Amino acid sequence: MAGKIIWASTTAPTYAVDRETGEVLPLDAVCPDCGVTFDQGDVHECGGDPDGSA
Amino acid sequence: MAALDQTTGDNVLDALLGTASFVATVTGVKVRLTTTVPTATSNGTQLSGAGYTAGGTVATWNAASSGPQVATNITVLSWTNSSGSSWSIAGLEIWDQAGTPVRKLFGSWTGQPITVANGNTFAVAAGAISISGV
Repeated sequence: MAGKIIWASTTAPTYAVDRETGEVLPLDAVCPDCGVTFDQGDVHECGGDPDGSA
Repeated sequence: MAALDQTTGDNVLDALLGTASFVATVTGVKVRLTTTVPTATSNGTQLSGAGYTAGGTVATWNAASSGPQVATNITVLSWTNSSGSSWSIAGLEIWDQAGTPVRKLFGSWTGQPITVANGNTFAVAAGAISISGV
């Protein structure tokens, strides 16, 4: 089953891993302009905020 | 994390001073996820949608250790988002299983709000919920 497991904590940093490989992946992010979910840090072009960080 | 719910905190103090009886926790306490940050006097907005069961998930806990007092979760928790849209998770609350559940503790996740895309899993490792300073 593809996808990420996002490990959260009340004290340690949150991080994400690939469900199958265990590889560390960027956290999910949501574009505030169009609502699309993408990998945090990726370039996201929808005509609004380019990286969803706004 | 985690601080005492205002009402619970008042009750603990009163019980210690003998001015009231302690309102015992009905065991099988549950962890709830919230989309807003809870405060001592205000509950967070509980997450909703497929993949999350309203009322939360039962967790077990290590006994508090001394100096300073810290208690952590034993149970590994996970919820897989199948709602069809992203979750935004900010906080957590610990409620008991009274007929009318009572909120005991609250806190927030590091780096909140945490986005969880549809199909992804929000997980909490053993020991990742640290309750201290109560």
